Amino acid sequence: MTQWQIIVAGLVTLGLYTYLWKDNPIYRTIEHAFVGFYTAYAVAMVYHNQVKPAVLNDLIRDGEAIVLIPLILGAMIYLRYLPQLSWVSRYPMSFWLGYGAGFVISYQIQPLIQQIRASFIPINSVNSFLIVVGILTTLMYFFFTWTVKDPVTHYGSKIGRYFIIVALGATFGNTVIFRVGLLMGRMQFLLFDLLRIGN
Amino acid sequence: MRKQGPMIICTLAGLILIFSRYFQVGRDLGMLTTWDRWFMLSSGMAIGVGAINLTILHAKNVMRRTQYWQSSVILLVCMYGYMALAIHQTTGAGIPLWIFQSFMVTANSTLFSMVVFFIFSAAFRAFRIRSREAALLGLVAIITMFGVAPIGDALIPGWSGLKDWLLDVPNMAGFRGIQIGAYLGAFATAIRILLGLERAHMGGGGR
Repeated sequence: MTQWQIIVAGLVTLGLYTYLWKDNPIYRTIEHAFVGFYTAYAVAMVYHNQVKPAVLNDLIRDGEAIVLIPLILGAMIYLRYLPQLSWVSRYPMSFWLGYGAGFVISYQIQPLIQQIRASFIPINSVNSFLIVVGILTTLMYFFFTWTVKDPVTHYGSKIGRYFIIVALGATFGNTVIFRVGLLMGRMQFLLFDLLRIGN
Repeated sequence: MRKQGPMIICTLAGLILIFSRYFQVGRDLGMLTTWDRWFMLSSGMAIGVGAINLTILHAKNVMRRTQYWQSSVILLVCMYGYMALAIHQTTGAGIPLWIFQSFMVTANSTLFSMVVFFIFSAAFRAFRIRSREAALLGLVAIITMFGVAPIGDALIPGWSGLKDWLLDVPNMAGFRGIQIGAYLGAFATAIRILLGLERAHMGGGGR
């Protein structure tokens, strides 16, 4: 980064941290600018990576008229802003949803089977026993189809809850550590790059 | 036309993908690649809906002079200014790249890092030992945090081993159960969508 970029980045960092004191105009300004920039960035990325090549290369240069179908389908979503024609926006939405459903059935079978296969392990240690019991009882916890009254599933789901809590606790711990890492990164930037202290 | 048409499109979109994938239907025509590309292109175009919704919301704020309407002006100026520059040039060079590197990346990581303060305050409230479940959650989180950070092993040798065991055995068992449950739920929902039993997406598009 250039010197000016470092100064801007430093001001942005300090400005956002002012929120830790309380909500203030500096924080709101940077936050709103951030949302605006990122939205524009996403639009520009789609334009340069998807729309422009499809129109300039495929449609105009190569004469592939079929590319008009997804372009028109995508454009149909904007008819939701016209009350008389808003129903047309159901077409692209349905296409995306149908594609998503097909994608799940086509591509997500493999990871599911991998997970199930990995669960069939020989029970020859305390750890492998705990893994098998943990998986089975966690699945029992997610059994909502009808009310379960048999003692195995009833108590199994209670044990499963503890395995889920362990998983969530570990996720929470990892999340906190990741965020602390980011915080340290910002502090290092402020000290080493902006203020040039200690490096 | 208004309801049957979209439902037919929905089922066809899914079935074509499934048949292309499993039975290689239309392989010579590059059906799978075409279908993927159509999805990417059409869904990518929907990004503008977000920009339009933001514009409507913040333009209303400005016109009605609601509280903090000045922030809405800043958002609109930044959004359309950056959009004009990035579409005219590219996002990978010039002023758009300068803003991306100095402002957007910085603000992104700073906002993420700020969450840690709120997580700590939330954790303090959540982990006050009211029940066995809360105690277990807090204990596992503490073991994981101290296990990942070097201070854990420095204070108590072997601490990271405990963390590794927790992650490799009970955590993995719990997560695998959650994942298998999530996959099964996703399949059930996908089948309901393809059969036309799930129609929530048809609700918001007109009368």
